[in-house]
Amino acid sequence: MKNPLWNNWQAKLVSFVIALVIWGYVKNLVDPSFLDRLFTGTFTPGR
Amino acid sequence: MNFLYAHFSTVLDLARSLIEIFILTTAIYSLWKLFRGTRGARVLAGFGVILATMSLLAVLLNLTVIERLLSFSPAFLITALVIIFQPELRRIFAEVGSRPLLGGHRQQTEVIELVIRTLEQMQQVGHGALIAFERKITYEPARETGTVLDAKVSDDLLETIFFPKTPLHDGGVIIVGDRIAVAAAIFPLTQAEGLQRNLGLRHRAALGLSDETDAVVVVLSEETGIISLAYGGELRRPLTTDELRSQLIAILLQNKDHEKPLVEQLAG
Repeated sequence: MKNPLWNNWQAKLVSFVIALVIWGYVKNLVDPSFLDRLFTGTFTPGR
Repeated sequence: MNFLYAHFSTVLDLARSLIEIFILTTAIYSLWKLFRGTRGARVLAGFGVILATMSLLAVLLNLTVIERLLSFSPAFLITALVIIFQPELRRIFAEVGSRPLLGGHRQQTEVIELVIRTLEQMQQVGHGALIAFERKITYEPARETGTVLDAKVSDDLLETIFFPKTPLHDGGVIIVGDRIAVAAAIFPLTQAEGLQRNLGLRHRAALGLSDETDAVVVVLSEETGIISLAYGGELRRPLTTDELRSQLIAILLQNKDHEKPLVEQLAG
């Protein structure tokens, strides 16, 4: 039943990447300046 | 002071973000583990690919109407998920709601030994068998379709039930405690994809029952004499009688697979 191509670590890695993308997308919706601050290096608090 | 406060808040913000990402990762991975190999997973994957392609096209070509329509997709997707994964969801909630089995160890050990002895004898004469050990979740349709016996488990009785061409040999037996509750019961067939082609209806039925309930189902193949065990929607095969004994004891008596919290089961 187990697919050898889908080892645990691979599945975990893909899950992490998907989670990162979803988190980034939603975070940007909640706090639109978040990505700007992140990429311009001015990551300071303020939601 | 201000600098310290700002620094602390940044660290806190970062920690918060990390926790959020960790929770999301765990949730996505758990969902993947629960649904892999099921028919619904393929449907969902196909649906995801179509949705992603459409979204990309809409953004690239600036198709505002399509983009607007796609923005409704999350609500639709959640409804579709519930419908597509209905059997899996039922199993998950049923597992979460059931508690570990307590007591009756000696009785269960005797039943396990009896079943194994019967399987060995049947293996020699080339008969097949489908035996389910019912636990916390009952499968009512089996009682309606099968013949209710309510008889003490014995090797003679089991062999008689599975003797070819007898009225009760088709279908499965359900054991509850030390009694054969039902014989010739019809189990639900699994919808899982990617099963080996040589696995017949008995194996599909065993997997189907283990998909929908927390039962442990043992299959003896009539053609090959191979012993398989279905539990939690997974088929373990081929098993020797010793391996079968240790797995049955682990699941039914020590409750190893069940005592662990669901999160841990998923991570394993």
